[in-house]
Amino acid sequence: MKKTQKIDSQTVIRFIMDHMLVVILIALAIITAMVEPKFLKVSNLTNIMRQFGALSFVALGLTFAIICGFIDLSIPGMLNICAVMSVILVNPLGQVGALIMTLIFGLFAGFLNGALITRSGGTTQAEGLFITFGMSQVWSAAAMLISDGKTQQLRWCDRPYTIFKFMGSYNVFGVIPIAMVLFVAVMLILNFYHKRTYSGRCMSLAGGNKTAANLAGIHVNVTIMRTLAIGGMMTAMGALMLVSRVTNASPTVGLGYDNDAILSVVVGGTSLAGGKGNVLGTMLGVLLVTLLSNCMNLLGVSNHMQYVMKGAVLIFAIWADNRKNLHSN
Amino acid sequence: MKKKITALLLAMSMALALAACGGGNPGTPSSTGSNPSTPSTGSGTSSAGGDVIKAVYCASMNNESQAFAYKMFQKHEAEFGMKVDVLDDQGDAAKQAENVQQAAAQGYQWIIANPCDAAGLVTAYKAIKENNPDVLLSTYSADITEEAYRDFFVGINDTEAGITAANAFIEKFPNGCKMVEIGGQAGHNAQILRHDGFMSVMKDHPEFEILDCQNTEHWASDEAQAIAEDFVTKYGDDIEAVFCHWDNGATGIINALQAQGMNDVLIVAVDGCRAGFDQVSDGTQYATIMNNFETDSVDSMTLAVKALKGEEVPSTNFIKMDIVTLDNINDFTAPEW
Repeated sequence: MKKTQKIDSQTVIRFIMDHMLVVILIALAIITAMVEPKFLKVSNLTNIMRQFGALSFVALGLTFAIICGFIDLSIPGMLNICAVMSVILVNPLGQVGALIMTLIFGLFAGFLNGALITRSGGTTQAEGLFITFGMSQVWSAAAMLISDGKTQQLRWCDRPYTIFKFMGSYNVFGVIPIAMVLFVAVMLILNFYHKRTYSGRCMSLAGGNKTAANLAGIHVNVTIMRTLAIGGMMTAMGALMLVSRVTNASPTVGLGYDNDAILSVVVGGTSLAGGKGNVLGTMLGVLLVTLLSNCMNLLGVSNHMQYVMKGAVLIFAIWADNRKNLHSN
Repeated sequence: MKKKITALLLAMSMALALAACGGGNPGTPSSTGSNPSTPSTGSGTSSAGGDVIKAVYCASMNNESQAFAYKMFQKHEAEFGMKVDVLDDQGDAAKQAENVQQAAAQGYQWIIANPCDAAGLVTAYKAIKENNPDVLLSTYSADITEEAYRDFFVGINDTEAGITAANAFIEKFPNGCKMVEIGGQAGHNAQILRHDGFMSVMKDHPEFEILDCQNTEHWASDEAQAIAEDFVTKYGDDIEAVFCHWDNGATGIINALQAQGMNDVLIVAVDGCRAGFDQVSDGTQYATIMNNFETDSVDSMTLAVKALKGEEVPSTNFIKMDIVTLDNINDFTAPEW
């Protein structure tokens, strides 16, 4: 009888550990709503969804990179260059051309990360970390070059930028930001790609054990390049969302997004060791990061304490992940 | 064949990117700084009568106003017989301290630093003064806490910017109002001083209720917009005015307010950049407190040339800040940055 009770309590603990993110989210929402009832206002929920924008796309791309065994630190630089480029290209190419070129550039920049990693033979996580960090510096400098160090405003464009305005401010049914709808659509496509296609599953296999994946006939190098290219394109998408939302693009706009994206992905259950993870978990991770800032602002918590909270959540998520791995082993 | 084409494309793009980054575009910082470019010993003589003056600007090139200030140094360096290099600290106070010491060791005659952390730079400047007393040391835009360790300072008084903003609100709302403050990068010298200056006036005006105050993680418009959206949720129509520490942040705040139809909220921001001018012109921002970086740079170089000739120069040189509103905006030249 005692043994049964022990198993039951372990099951409960395991269940809570497995769904810790949802538990934290619910607790955070309840506490904030009790202290500040305006948290539940429709306008605030719309705000939260709108604030999802850039980070959600960036985190989606990073999820794949981490599943494949790499932490992509080129995110700030790529956000900088893509954001600035999207505004600068409106005049010469028009808004559609600017949007398409930015996405292609993101795809290419991600592919370049993958090519540098595989061609240099730096396929360990640490080597990938430094290569992508180096690329972030290159793209940040390029963003400074092409923008002359200045924030680029959409209002300075001579040609129309209605698509940007639409993406940044339109609400479906007056409540759901179009950015959220786009995000959910892209997330579902990527989830299908990851779970239901051969090349999607290759990412997990390559991330879990590259040698075993190679022996199993998977072209690991191609998988790495493809994965990082998707990540680059998602980062470009995030940059477009960011520009649409704030109507300007600073050459330093990407600062800090790598931290928040890593936090979202890890909290969402993707293992830093690679091989395991999913985009749906990342969505919850992004929700937690966004909610944290929103709740803290509503509760009047200082910016410094917000750093502390984010750091604590990240450490806790890594601890929980390692603990879960120990249990499963 | 496909692989070769791909490799060629990659190589070309890398070469392009590297070439672009290494280019001498005047508005652009050079690479981060452990290895500053060797200063030109070029032809001609300086205003001081000798060779070209070797100067280095130690600042954060990821901050666009500081990057623009460097551009202004480059624009006028020839007039003063100088070659101004840059050492980028990327907002890291420890790296800045390391950069200035390295610059002194490399034989720069004049080191200009825009302090990331006022107290942090003092130790480095003190060490230089003790070991290389001939190196001219100045601070730019923001000052250090121990004036004895630098030769002169040129820049705005960020405390004054906060005070000027507070006075603009007092003039506009003689009976007071409810307002919020959205600050710049938390812990940055300018953010601290602008807040302190603002509060030093507001503490004597109980008719003004500061509903809330929050700083951003970086000087980022999207962060300012997110904070403004949260404030609008929390305080709604109670918000009558917003003090923002920088004009590009005000862009985000305007977006947040307009999304909720709050078009009557009065906004005052600091910088006087092109976005600020545009926002004042179209009536979405009441005033911008203007900092003229070209004047800052030219005044700095003027004083440096005098100091290197051995002349006495004033220790503290504040640049006057202008309040630009719709009434007087045509009196000012719209800034380039």
